[in-house]
Amino acid sequence: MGEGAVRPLVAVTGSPNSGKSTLFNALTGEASATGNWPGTSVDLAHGVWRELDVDLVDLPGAYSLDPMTPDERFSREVLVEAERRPDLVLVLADAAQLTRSLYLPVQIRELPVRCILVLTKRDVAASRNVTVDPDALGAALGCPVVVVDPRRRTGLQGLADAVRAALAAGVPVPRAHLGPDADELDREDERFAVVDAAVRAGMDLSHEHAADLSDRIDRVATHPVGGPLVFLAVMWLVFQATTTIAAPLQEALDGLVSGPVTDGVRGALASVGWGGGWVEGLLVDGIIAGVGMLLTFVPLMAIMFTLLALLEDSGYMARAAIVTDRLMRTIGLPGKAFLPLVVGFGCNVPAISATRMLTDFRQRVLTALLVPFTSCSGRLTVYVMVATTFFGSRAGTVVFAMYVVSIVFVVVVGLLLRNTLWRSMGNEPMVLDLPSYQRPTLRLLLGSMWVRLSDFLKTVGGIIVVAVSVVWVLQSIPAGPGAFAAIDVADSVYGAAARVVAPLFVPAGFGAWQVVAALAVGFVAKETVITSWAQTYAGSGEGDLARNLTETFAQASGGHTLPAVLAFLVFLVAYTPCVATIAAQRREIGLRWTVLGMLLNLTVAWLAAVAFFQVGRLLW
Amino acid sequence: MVDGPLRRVLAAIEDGAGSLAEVERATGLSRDVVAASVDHLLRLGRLEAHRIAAGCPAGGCAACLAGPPRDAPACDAASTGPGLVALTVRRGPTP
Repeated sequence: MGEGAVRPLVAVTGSPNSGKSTLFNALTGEASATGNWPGTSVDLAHGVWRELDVDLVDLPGAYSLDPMTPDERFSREVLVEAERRPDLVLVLADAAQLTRSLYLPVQIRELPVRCILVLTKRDVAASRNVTVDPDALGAALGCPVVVVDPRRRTGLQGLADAVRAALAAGVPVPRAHLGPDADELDREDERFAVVDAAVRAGMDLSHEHAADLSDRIDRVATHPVGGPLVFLAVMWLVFQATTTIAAPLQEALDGLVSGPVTDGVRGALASVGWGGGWVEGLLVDGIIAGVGMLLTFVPLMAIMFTLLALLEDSGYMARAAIVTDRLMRTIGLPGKAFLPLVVGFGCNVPAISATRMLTDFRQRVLTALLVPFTSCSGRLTVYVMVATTFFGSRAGTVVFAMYVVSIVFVVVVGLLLRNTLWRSMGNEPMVLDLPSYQRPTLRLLLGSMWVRLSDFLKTVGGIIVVAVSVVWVLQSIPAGPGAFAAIDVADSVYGAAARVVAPLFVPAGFGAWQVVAALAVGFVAKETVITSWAQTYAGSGEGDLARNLTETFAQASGGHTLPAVLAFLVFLVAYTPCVATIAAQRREIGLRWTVLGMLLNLTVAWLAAVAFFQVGRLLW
Repeated sequence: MVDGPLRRVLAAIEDGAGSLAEVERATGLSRDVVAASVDHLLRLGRLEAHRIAAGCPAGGCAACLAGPPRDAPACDAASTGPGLVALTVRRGPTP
């Protein structure tokens, strides 16, 4: 080219990671520089493509000329608004992500500029059985298509020939499209119709029809009938395996805590002259009996959290979400409500916060009132402890049943509220995007298990220690004659207060002060139900917790022990979860609805427990 | 009004499709076009995406006790598994 003549300008653009910079470097070699582009304030790489003697400019990655990012804004400036606009645009498209890459070339075809689609990563596409016909694709888009591999530097000569031919020809007539006065969605949809036509013309879609492993599993896992059955079977297996494997470990730890640890602390205190006093009471009957009992659940929690992580990491839990979502829709609950409800099975507090995603206040209130009926992991420890004490080898089935009861509560109460308070509530459509199944990795499984287990340990070391200490104080204050920390628990203010409330639970079969007191303490956090029992029986000096609990339930139920225990568990599923959840409810839906929610929880829990016991006593 | 892939995908979601597979069946569009349309509708702000996980936040559930910041949708979940994403139609003006 003669001195002073201006070289043709060719811009390289395309979606991020389509190989733009690699191609730019392959075409310009070392002869490139970075500098300010005329009429703009942005630096970009530019150089000379020696073989064709054209200026080449490397634009930032962009999906569209309707800018959403600074990079896209700059690409628009250069292609549409700059003083010196390109004579030709090379639009790179990743063949493995072809459909997502076609919107930009379709939009560029609306401009008065030459355009060539450069297809990259065809080898990656081929490995996924995606085949592209460049000629048919080019005909549909109205621009030449050239296949290039910038990394291996193949196809560059074909690209040079295509650029030379395009520059020699005139500027093509821009593609007819809807003008700026048209509705925005119409404009974009018209472009997408072109993308769809190009894909149908230029891509072999048979790979989409060949069912891969994920598709084959999903035919069962997300089937309207088979899906729920598979979900229930999987969860039963999880609980059964957990309780079976953990039982001997838990027993061994229990023996360690109630034996050598307790004896060691007693001995140590006696050796320093603190034996038999309130210090020994607080440490042995309070902290060690309560917190120690909870710590025996660590192996169980570790096994369960690992199994749940296995289901999550494999991708199965996402399928369970589809099953749950379908249930919500069937009963007319807002589809979005499913999201916080799923979170609620982990912890109710973030689930209440998650109701913020519901834009309709009535939907938010309804969902926040339903969340406490989802069985959080705090309740799990109580289910397991009670189930292993009373149901032996069937403990896993009983724990599983409590989760089913929890779902039934959500459905029934949801329907009740939906058909009384909020009959006119609208719905918000929702689609779930399922990920593919994947092979779980040990590192992720253990990492996920540890996050949850450490949370359990933090809870035990924090709020539970405080609750245990407060309970010990209440159990040490005499309700009548006697000295502090020198009375039977039954004679303390703790026992006396519980006896006032206990008659309310006689129809449910567990109107014993030991049980009612533990439920009251459970308002703080559900795990404290267990610690309270451990403290109550340790403080009474009555020894073995399981035996004492069995006697308590047997006496309270008139011999119908198992129906009473089931009624107790059902009550535990439904009654107010914990103070943190109540605080979250107050924050999200206000005091009035929170109070109504607490009354709703207590009423439903009491009615269901009474129904379980009264029916159960006829059978057992 | 243009009845292209974007409007057909939106209509399928409004009509109750529960998964992208159901959207494909309802619209007759290919999987790739449905996926690209969803991406574009998210970009336009016509759809909203929420990642779903039933796990606790990274700092454990206790990190949520004080409640997340007022402008946050919820506590971040620390699910390690492949992400499940819920797509919902945005009501009102797009951003």
